[in-house]
Amino acid sequence: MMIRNFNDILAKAKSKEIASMVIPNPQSKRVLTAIYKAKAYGLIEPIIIGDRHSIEKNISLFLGKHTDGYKIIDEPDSSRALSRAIKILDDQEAKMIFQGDINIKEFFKAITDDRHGITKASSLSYVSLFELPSEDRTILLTDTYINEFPKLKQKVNILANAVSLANSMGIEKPKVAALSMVELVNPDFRSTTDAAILSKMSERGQLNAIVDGPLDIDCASSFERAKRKGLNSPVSGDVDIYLLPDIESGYSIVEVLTFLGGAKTAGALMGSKIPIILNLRFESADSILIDIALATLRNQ
Amino acid sequence: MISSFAEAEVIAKEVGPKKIAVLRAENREFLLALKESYRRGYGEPILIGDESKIREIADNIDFDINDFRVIDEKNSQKVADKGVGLVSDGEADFVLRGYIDGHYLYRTLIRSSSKSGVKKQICVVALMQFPVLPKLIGLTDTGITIAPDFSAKVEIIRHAVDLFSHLGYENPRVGILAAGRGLNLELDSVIDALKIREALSNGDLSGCSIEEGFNLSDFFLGKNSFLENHEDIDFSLVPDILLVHNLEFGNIFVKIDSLSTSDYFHDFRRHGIIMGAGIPTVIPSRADMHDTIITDIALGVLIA
Repeated sequence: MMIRNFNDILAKAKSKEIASMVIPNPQSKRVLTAIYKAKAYGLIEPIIIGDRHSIEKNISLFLGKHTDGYKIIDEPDSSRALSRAIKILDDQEAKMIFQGDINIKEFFKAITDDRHGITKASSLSYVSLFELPSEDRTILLTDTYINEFPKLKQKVNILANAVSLANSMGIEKPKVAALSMVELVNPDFRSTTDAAILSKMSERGQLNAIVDGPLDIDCASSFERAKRKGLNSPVSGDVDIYLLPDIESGYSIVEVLTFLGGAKTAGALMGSKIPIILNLRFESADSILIDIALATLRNQ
Repeated sequence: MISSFAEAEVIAKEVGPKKIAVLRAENREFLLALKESYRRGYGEPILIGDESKIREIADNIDFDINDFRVIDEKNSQKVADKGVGLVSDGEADFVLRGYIDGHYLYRTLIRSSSKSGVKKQICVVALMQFPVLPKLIGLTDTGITIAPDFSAKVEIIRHAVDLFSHLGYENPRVGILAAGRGLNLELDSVIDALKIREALSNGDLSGCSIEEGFNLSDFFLGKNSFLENHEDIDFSLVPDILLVHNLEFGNIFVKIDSLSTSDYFHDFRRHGIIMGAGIPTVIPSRADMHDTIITDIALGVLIA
């Protein structure tokens, strides 16, 4: 089944086996709401590590719920809660981890720590999802959080990560637009040369995707506008994955869609051995719920 | 304060008439727009381009151009040079980019602005109208400098502030967009943002305020806060002017509606204006229809 929208992600996740998810220090309303809903939908069995008293109080305050049936390990110190969460993963007592309300720098350091082998920082990238209701499909944008000014080799990895996510959403051979601001290759302008090389790599069957670039966002998203510019692109108007040139556009485009377009987003940290769910500022509790559902789809 | 393009079109009637130097006027949509603009009192055109084609199209659309100056010139670079020259000589008030490739115009503007000895930082400010916002916002630089450094950015902000003062925005709020985020704040874009804020407190930059923070999450949610509900977003918190770190993102942002006009950016509109050359220049796209071009002309009247 091809996933067309966030509801499809939820529906498909519900049909999967319940996955155990460890969460260090969940305190905020957003985070607790997402955990509560994910559990209620039967997506996860949460293992919560943190200050039991304050977590119970917050769940009651924010959600009006009891914590019966929740596994809570009392650990008031948030750094120690994080270490214990990592240990639970090491011991394979949980299948996934959610950042909870741990500071992202601290969380990132812990999950990429060589001693645990959870993930290497260099293999990670973030993919943001947006629904296009009028076209009955969902598009993927990457890298929207992790890599800053990736070189070609990193872009190949970023792309492979996004393709893998697209595959798990039922998109067999995704169409990718390597974005720049022009369609012509300019040797002085790295986003254009990288895009051209990625296109060639895809043509040679190296990427398991149909990549075209450089394309500006206009030609990428509309077959007609591309044609008007004399481009005959195999991806125009039907792009599954938009590959952004750098973090300045990658990070900001999600915020523009969210704050000026009123769009809802979800996302996935890709490239890790086990699913890791981040807590990003521009994702609401509903977004995090979809993030969790998406993670369970990958956890097969 | 002009808060919509519709308002700009009304006010331009009061401000006009102005003289409009049109670069390559031999296009039906542009001539239709000029005909309507003349009727509304925005001003009269000086038509530069292929004279016989201009007269033929004007004839076809019943646009009587006998009282207007027509300059027969087929070479695009010379068209740009002559049009910009008319404004610098005071014979026209602003430039309307017609059916001409943008790079001829940019070349002429960069050349003419560096004649004075001091190199000027010209830029494109895109005026954008989002249906969810109660006002226009400006985005810059969306067209000229690939990777502006700190001092270029300060100049670009000055030009955008200048544009906004023409539109009646007093002391506009400037938001500097940078990918500074929880994971890493040590980025060139963040460093530039901090220096620009310093320039404002030194008095090197004035006439505007700079928003706290580095990205839309900061501007909309406040520093260190997270998005609770999409329904709670207060769209009015958006700054008046947004500065991007590089042209790649400027280009993506200004065309963000193309990602999904029907789902998220229904009725989104934008108009580009070149600032900083001392030659007010409005730049419709060559693919625009006449009703869109009329708005560009109205904006030209307001900034001239």
